[in-house]
Parts: sequence; C-alpha cells; structure tokens
Amino acid sequence: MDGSGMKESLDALARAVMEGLEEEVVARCRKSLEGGVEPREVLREGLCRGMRLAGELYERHEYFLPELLLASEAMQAGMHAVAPALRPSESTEGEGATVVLGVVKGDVHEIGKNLVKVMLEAEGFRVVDMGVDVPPERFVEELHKRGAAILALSTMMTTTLPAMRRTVELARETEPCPLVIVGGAPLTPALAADLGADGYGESAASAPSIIRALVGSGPES
Amino acid sequence: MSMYPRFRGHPLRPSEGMLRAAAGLFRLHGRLGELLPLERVLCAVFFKEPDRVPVTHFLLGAARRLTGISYQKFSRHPESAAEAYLAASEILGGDVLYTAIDLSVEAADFGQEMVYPDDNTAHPDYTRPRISAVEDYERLEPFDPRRSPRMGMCIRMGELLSRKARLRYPVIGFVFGPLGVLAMMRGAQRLFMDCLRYPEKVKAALDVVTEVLVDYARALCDAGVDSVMLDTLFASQSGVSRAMWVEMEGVYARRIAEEVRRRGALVSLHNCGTRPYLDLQLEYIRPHLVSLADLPDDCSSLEELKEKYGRKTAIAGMIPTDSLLLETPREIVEKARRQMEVLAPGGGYVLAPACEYPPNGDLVNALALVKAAEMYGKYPLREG
Repeated sequence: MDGSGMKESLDALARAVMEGLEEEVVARCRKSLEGGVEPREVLREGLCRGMRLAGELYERHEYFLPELLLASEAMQAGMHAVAPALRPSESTEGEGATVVLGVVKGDVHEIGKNLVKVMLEAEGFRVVDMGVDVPPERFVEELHKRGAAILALSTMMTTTLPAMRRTVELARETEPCPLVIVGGAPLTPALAADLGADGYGESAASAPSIIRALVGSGPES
Repeated sequence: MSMYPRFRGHPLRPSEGMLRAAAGLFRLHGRLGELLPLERVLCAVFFKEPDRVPVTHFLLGAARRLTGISYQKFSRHPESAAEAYLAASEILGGDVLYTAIDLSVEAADFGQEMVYPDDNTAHPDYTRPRISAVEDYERLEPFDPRRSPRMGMCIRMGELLSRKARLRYPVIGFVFGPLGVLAMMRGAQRLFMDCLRYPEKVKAALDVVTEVLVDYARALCDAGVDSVMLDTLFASQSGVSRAMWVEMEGVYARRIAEEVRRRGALVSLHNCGTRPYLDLQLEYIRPHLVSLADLPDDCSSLEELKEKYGRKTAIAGMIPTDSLLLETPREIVEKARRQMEVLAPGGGYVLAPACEYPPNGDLVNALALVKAAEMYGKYPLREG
C-alpha cells in the first residue's frame, strides 16, 4: 500500500470507528494490516483518531451517549483485531502516563468510567480499569503496584461520596502522591475540590485534556 | 380510600378549571393569612401568587431519617415510608408529599433482581440483568401493578398519604419513565447501544412497559394522588439525542401523561439531566409542574427560562444537590433568595433541590430552604 492508499485506508478506518461500525472496523483493521500498514499506525491513526473524532462530536452535542458508546465498542473491537499483529515489545496499551481508574465503593454505575477509559486510551494513556464498587484500599494497592501517577475516580450517587472522599484521602497518604481526578453526576468543581481532588472532569471526552493539564502542573500541595 | 368522594370506585375530582378558580381564591386568602401547603402549591401551579413560595425537598431516602427507619424498611413497607414522608413534611416544613422511593420500583416488579442495602438506596443487582440478551426485550409480559410488590407498595403509599394528608398536603405519585425502567433491567450502557442497533426490539419492550406504567399511573390516581410525576431522565444532553428521545420515550411518556389527565389528576415532570429538552417534554407530556436540575438546552439563564417557559409550566428545582451537601444554611438561603428573585414573580414557581435531597446529607439545609421561602419568598415579593 502506497502513502496515499495508506492514508485513505486509515481515514476510512477512523470514520468507521467514529460511526460505531464494529464489523467494518474489524474488516478495515485486517485489510490495513494485510496491506502492510504498521500495527501501531492502525492503532494511532485509525482507531484512536476515530475515537477522538467521536469525542469531539460529543463535545459539540452532535453525538450523545449512545453514539459515543457505539464508537467505543467499535474501537475496542478494532484493538482486539490489531493486538495479534503487534510485536512482543508492543501492546495496545498507550505509551503515556498510567491512570488507575474505577468506580468507588458502593456504586456500580459504569458508563462514565468506561467512556473515560476509551477516551484516555485513544489519547495514548495506559489505563488500569479497576471496575466498579472498588474499596479505597484496592485503589491504593493498585497505585503502588503500577507506580501510577494518576488516579481517576467516578461515582453517580451522593451516598457514595464518603467512599470517594476516603479513597482520595488514602491516595493522598501514598508516596509518591498521585494526581486525583474525579467525575460523575453529583460532582461539581467545588465538590471535587472539597473532596481533595486535583481535578474535575465534566465529561468523559474532556478527561484526557484535564489530565494532561494536571500532569503539566503537578499535584497540588 | 383517598380524600376524594368516589363514584364506581374512582375518585371524583374537581376539574382543572375548578382548581384554577380555587387557586384564585387561595391567592386572595394568602394576602390575609397563611395558606395550607395544598393551597400554596395549587396557587403556584396555576400561576397565582400564594402567601409565599412553596417548598418541596424531594426527600426520598432522606425522609427515612426523620423516623429512624432503615433503607430496607423505607423501600419495602408502605406504612413506614408514608409515615417517614409525613414526619418529614411536619418537621422540615416541605409542602409536598411523594410516593417516590427509588428508581427501581417498576423494574423490580418486571422481575429485575434487586439489592436492598440497609444504608443505601435500593438498586438492581447489576450482575443479573432482567434483560440479559437482546431477545429478552420481546419476552417482557404485562401484569397488574396493583398486585405487584413494589408498585403495589407505592399505590398503597398513595392511599395512605392521600388519606392522612387530607386537604393539607398535595400528594404526588412518582413513575419512572419507560426508557428509565428498561435501563434498570438492561443497564443503561447496553440499552443506549440497543436503541441504535435494535430499535424495534427496544420498542417492543417499551410498548409492554408503557402499558404497565399507564395502568400504574391509573392506579395511583385512583388511590387519590393529586398529581403523577414522570421522570424522563434521558431527555437531556446527558442522555440521548432529541430525536432519539422522541422516538424512544416521548411518544410512550405521552400515553402515561394522557391517562393521568383522563383521571383528572395533574401531570408533573422531573428531569435531572444536564441541559434538558424542556420544549420537547412540554410538547409530549404537557406537565403542569416541571422539576429541573439544569437550565434547558435552549436557555442560557434563569431569566431566559422564566421568560420562555414561565407561563407554560410551573418550575421547580435547580438548587444544586452538592450545595445542599456542602454549603452552610446561610449560603443555601442566599442561593434560594437569588433564584426566587428571578423565578418566583407571578407564581409558577416551587423552591426545590435539583434532584433527590442528598440521602445522607445534613437536614439543616432542608430547613434552610423553608426559611428562605419565609424570609424572601413572601408575596408580594420585595424588590431587590
């Protein structure tokens, strides 16, 4: 595949991700790989770019949760298709900072968390997905184990805000102290600050830029 | 038995025109003395200025703390839940009673497995969704909500509250919207994607759910509630697109609202999404009262909200729940004062939280809302 053919192929792949066309995404991933496109290019310029485009449409209110979720499923399916082609030294994980992500103890609402995961992966972050209903101690263990610099927490309920507060407090006691970003329906910038978080994510699509800005500024003392 | 006299088992209610006329009389009465909560709310709903701005706390789980019962008991025992709501209104001074317990009442009766924690809101067991595969949408069966455990409980609550409140408090029956009920049985994430991939299968389920919800609303009206509140959670930018909402919920919610009106009760609406589609919801549901958490998608300020919608429906809500959780009573009073300044003139306004009062939050801020209405919400409103 020559340069323009490759660009065309990756553009079509990105578009298919954006439109949430799972089967087409898998087929286009395979076709790109067979055409000699580097697997990492398929990931970066096809899958991740498509997800970023979907995120931009969401931010502009042209996409809503259903469309964004479909795009994220298509991207995940594409990643599975590309994974076997990667060299042993490579992985579908990004090369950026590691983010430990999860829904706090007592809460099982996971749409926001799942979308944040995909948006971060699309931007090259390594994401450790802890799932839902995660006790504070488990987050801290994982931060230690992975040497992660960023903790991202989600909740949809006010009844689980104490668990979020406890998680932030415990994370603050760990060395090195991670940056903490929180999000979810009951949260606001003021509440995030009150909980001791460094940042607040209003939407999943904004998570990468918020984390990048925080990493640039470092944890607040 | 409700407070209304009955004919062939159904409550005989005053017509909307009679209620409107009564609201006019209450307005005059309110100039001379204190109104009862029911009179106050009726005035507000029909755009008459009552004695002062009415307040509703939308307490749900927080109500149980007034009588010291567990979440389990609040979620399953109609007498205990009704008593908690009555105690809350008497002690905290709210003007409205609800049959609202949690958002899983309807889904549970469709067979969704539930979790009933002692210290947290009852919720579906998400590891065992009632609709675990796309084919399950077409397997839902209608049933009689009067004979089902949780909707039956809320109908019973409606009876108890209507009887005990008599002519003092308005009672609002609460019904989760059809799409929300399906989300509780499928998981919102899967449901959203199914709406795009398998819309016909979702609609088959929505037809069955709506049939039961229409019957549920009818039973609540027959139990004597004054209004039925529909919760259309996904009709906002934090839910689905405007077109999808119309297709997947608007047309179904309309059937429920029409039944409520046919029964002579008032229609209320709650939407705690971000940037709700208020114009669409007014078109499809035609509510008398709307409780919001955020400005509609076509308004950029409270002033614009009042200007655009202030004579089409009464407005409640928008005192942020995080403020109720974090801020001092003085700050809450100030927030309420600013909101009343814009939304209260001419009636059509009820002071209320954006959504459910934080279940474990300090109740002193519930008192602060009432205090704010007493201090700054007395009609005629003072300038500035």
